[in-house]
Parts: sequence; structure tokens; C-alpha cells
Amino acid sequence: MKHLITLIEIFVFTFLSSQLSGQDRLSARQIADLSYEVTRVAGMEATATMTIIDDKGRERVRKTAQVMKLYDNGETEKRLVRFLAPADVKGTGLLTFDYKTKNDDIWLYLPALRKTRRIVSSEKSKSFMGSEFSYADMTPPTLDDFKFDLLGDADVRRTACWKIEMTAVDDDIADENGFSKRISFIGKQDYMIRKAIYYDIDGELHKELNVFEIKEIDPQNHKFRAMHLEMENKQNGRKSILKMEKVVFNPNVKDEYFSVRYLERE
Amino acid sequence: MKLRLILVIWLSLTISLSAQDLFESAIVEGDQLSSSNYELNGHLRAVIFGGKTDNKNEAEIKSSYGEAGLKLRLRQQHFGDAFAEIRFRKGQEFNQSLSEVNLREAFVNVYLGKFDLRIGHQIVVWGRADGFNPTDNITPKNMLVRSPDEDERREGSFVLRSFYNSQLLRLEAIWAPVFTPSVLPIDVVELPEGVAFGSAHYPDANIKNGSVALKLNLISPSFEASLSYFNGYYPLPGIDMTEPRFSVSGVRFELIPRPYRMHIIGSDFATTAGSYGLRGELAYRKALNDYRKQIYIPNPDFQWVAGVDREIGDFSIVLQYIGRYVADFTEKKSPVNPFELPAFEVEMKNRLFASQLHRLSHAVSFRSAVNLLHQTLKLEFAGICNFTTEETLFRPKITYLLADAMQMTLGGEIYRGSDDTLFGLVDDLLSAIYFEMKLSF
Repeated sequence: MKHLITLIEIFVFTFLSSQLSGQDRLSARQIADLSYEVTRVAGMEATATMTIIDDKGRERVRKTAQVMKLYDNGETEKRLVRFLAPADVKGTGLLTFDYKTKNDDIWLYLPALRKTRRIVSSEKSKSFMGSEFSYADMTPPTLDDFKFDLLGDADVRRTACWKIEMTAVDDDIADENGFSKRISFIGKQDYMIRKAIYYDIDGELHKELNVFEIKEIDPQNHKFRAMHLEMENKQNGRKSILKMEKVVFNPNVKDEYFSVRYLERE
Repeated sequence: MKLRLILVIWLSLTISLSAQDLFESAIVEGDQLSSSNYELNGHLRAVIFGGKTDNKNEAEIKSSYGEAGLKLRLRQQHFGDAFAEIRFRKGQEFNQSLSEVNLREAFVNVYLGKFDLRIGHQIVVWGRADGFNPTDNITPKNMLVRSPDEDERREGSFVLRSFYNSQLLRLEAIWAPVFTPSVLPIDVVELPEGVAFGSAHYPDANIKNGSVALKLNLISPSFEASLSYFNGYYPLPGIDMTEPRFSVSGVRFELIPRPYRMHIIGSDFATTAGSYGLRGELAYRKALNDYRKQIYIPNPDFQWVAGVDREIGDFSIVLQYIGRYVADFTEKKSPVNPFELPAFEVEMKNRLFASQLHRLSHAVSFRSAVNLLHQTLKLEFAGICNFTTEETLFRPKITYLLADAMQMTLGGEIYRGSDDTLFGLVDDLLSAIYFEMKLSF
């Protein structure tokens, strides 16, 4: 019996050792995959505030309520975003079916027109709500569109991180996403991005993202959300701050939210 | 004990009824003015339109007004909500003092599982094409409204609207019991001597005068389409006339706005193909009464719109081809008999307003826009060119966001066409440049 316990102890130790050393040997792509997976939450509701600060310090504020849920074993993420402020865009709704392998389906509801309009999703490089965040920054990238290199280790605000370079496979992908290269600093404990540096199509330094707060919203499945992000444009001095004010993990989000019917309810 | 049990049940019911998800409660709480389940929003704006005077090369103020708009929305958990929008407008328009209160919409929504019901004074918008919608015939438009926003021309009318929703299909049924006419610029057009507008012959509120419509929507993730049917009074009345009275001083008769009932069968679709959005819409219209015997009733016609839209960075464009085929079309020549001339003139004006001057007509519309300065400056250029009638309308517009919810707009509406076309007729009246400042809250 004593031999058996010793054998088990040896096995467990060996297994843990291999796991730890295995983490150290993860490839850049594997880290990117894990970084993608830890943000895939089964269902979530949130409110957020985006503060856009121009180079003269003037501020514009946008508020949204959003709800999302994963479908098709995680292959599809459905999201509904409703604008709450400012007053001139209040009630505007955006319904997105975000697919892993094909272009998204997107509907936009404009209260002034009383009409829902299907829109084309290919322009991910566009600014999101006039901020320094692009649509591509707001959703996980299609990983197969990029190649990954592990540049080494670095600490970001006292968190040990991997330094991963992500380069668009061709110019079309770079154009579509609005950057040719991104260097991400990914936490070794939670696989969450702590910082990212963006290079534009010409390879020039463009933007820097800093993530100041991360919350584990689904502790059972180790799923996380960035709660406070700041994106600084190094070329024009503008900055945008995205704060998630309330986030609720809810895998049982009502399916009816993700319909044109609900989109049109202001 | 019994009382306590009732109290517990009542409390648990109250709690469950008022329970809302974060998403729903955030939408209600999003309004800073309200601390309850109502929202109060609105706008204040000042607009000035300047254009040329009729047949003179002089400028005049076509319209200038200040407007306060209030929007009230009440919510009752997931059972339903109610909405009202009221506008107060003071100023001058068409060389007349303007002071009006307009209840643009006031309706109540009830949500009953898969059924939705909306009843009240409301605007119904149908059609997936951009700006030109042959299937959009439920509620009227006021073409005399001057505003930088085209949607401001829409008017509400009393409508009962119900929906049945399934996963992919949405069936919509509409009953509009009371006829509300559209307003064309003809009301302010100068008429020849001896001709005047008489009282309109609008249908009374008899239940048989109501309009009904059905629409079946298919909304799948990659493709959406609809089939629709309308049976009722077309919002834009025709122009009938009284018997002309001839004398040595000339001819005298009255023009009578008179609506007519129509069948309209329509369909539309929207989808995407790669980086392009594709949309289309078509409708077949036929009056219930004999169009051959009444000059104010148009011929049956087919209308269709096919469009493509594309976004390239901050630039977007929508291009559409618009066509119309008029069935049983006959060319009309000016009669030799002068006593037949008034009826001929009125019939030709009806053809003009119904866009039936030609058997087949072709037009192209476009809407292009570019967002600059981090989406604070928007340059927009929209228009339509009718190749058959050689009419054009151009709408350039510049909008600048001074701050959140505060914008100023400079733009114009330029109508061009020969005197026997609709745009030519309204050119002097409606062509204008405008400036607007607007603050929303």
C-alpha cells in the first residue's frame, strides 16, 4: 500500500512538472489560442462607458448596454449592443452574429429611420464610435489570418507576460484589420492581454493598448474579461478609455435578445 | 396565516414581475433624467432655408423656425411599453407665419409571448431599399416639411399593427381604420386663373374605408426577404376635377383631391456578398376602381429597385437602379377641342404626380458619405437622376458634431427638370440651401 501511495505521488509530481514545463514550452500560436479561449464566455451582460479624449483634452462619452452568448459549441458569438448615450445616438442598436470562420452578419437599427438595416461586416479597421478602438480591436481576431512569434518574456505592471508578435499573413488582412503587426503582452497566469502595441499598414508605431483591470467572470471555467482598457494613439495624441461598469456572467441569456425583433425594441 | 400566505405570494409575484436582466435594466437606467421606468428625451433645433423666389433671380427665406421636440417612453417590464413624440414649431414657412404643435407619434406596445401588438398614432416604414420603397405605402408623408432629415417628412396615422414571431419568420398584420392623406407640394403651387382647389373628398371613418396589409418576413442570418400585400387607400390622393364651366372670360373649375383604393403586392430582400451589400424591392400596384374611367386613378404599374452598397474605410456608398413600367399606357396628345383641354391638363398632372409620364422609366439613385475628423465631420452627397424624364435631385450635406449630441448641418436640396416634370414644377418652391443647429438631450 505504501508503495502504491509513493507511486501515485511520483506520478502526480511527474505530471505537474510536465505541465509546468509544458507551459513554458507553449508556442506563440498556442498562447494566442489560449488567450482567445479565456475570453470566450458562455453568456454575459454588461454596461460600458467609452470616453474619447482628443489631443486637446476634450472629452466625448458614449455609453452602451450589451449582451452576448455563445452558440454552435462556441463557433458563433451573438452580440447585441444598445447605445444609451449620447442623446443623438440613444436607442441605436447593433446585432452581430460573429462567426469564427466566415464574415459576420450585422444588423443596425437606427431609431430615427425606424428601420433595421443589414450592413456589410468587412470593414473591421473602422473606428468604433469615433474612438481609437477599431471594430477589429473590439472582437477577437481570426487567428488563422496571422502568424505568431514568441519574442520573449516581459513584466507589465508586475505581471509576468509572454511577448508575442502577431503579423498579418498578407496586405489584405492587414488592411482589413487596420494593422500590419501587433505585439501583445499576455499574462502567464490567466492568458489575458495586459498590453498591446499596434503598427500601422506602413509598419509605423500606431497605437498602444493598456489593460488596467481584469475580472474572472466565470471562475468555474476560468473565463475573463478586461474591465478597464485604454487605447492611446501615438500618431495623433488621442486616447480612448473603455470601462466595463457592470459585468454579469449569465450563460442563460435569453435567446430572444439576438433577433431583429428585439433589436427594434428601443 | 392565510393572510401571511397571500402576502408572501403577492410579494414573490411582485419581485418576479419586476425582475429584469442587467441588459434591460441598463437601458432604462441609461436615461439620466429618469429614475423610474420612463425616459424623457428630445431635441431643440433652429433651421433656416434660403432659396430663389418664384421665377425671379432673387433670394428669399423659404423657411425659418425653432423647434422643440419631446420624446417620452414608458416601460412596463417585459409586458410592453408606450411612446409619444410631440413637436412644437414656431417660425415662418412659405411666406406665412408658422406656429404648430404636432403629435408625431403616440402608441402602446404589448408583448405577449410570440405576439407583439402596437396600437396608436404611429409611423410605419416598410422596404429594404434605400430611400425609394415601392412597398412603403402604409402611413403618409408630408412633402412640404422642410428639414435636413428626410425622415422628418414621414407622418403618423392611427394604425393597429400586430406581429407573430417565430425563429425565422415574422408575420405582420396591419389595420389602418382611418385614412390620412400624404401632402404634396401642389397645395402651395400657384394655380391658373379660374382654377382653385375644392374640398377634398376623403373617406369617412366608416369601417369599410379602412386599409389592411400583411407582410411575411423571412429573416435568416445570411439572407432576409419579405412578401407583402396592401389593400386600402393609397396615401397620396389623386386630383379629380369638377365639371368645367366655360364663359367668355375663360374656364372655371375646381381641383378635388380624391384618394383611391389599391392592391399592392410587394417583395424585398437584403443580403451580403463578400464586401458588398445587396438589396432589392419591387411592387405591383393596381387600383380597385377602373383607372380608364377616372382621371385621378393611375394605371397599374410595376416598380422595382435594385441596389448595392459598399464601405471602404470611412467612405460608404449606396447605388440603386430604379425602374417603373406602366401597364396599359397610352400616349396622350393635347386635344384639338379646347373644351377637352382642362380634363387633359388635369390628367397629365395626375400622371406627373404618379410618375406615369412614360411607359417605362429608368432612374439611378446614390448616397455617398465620408466620415472625417474621428467621425465628427460627415460629408454626404445623395441624389437621383431620372434618365427618362431628365429630372435630377441632389442633396449635399455637411454635418459637424460640435460636442456630444450637439451638431450643425449645412446642406442643400437642388431640384432640376423641365417645366413638365415634377422636379421642374417644384424647383422654385423647394430648391434651397439650409443651415441647422441641433442639440439633443
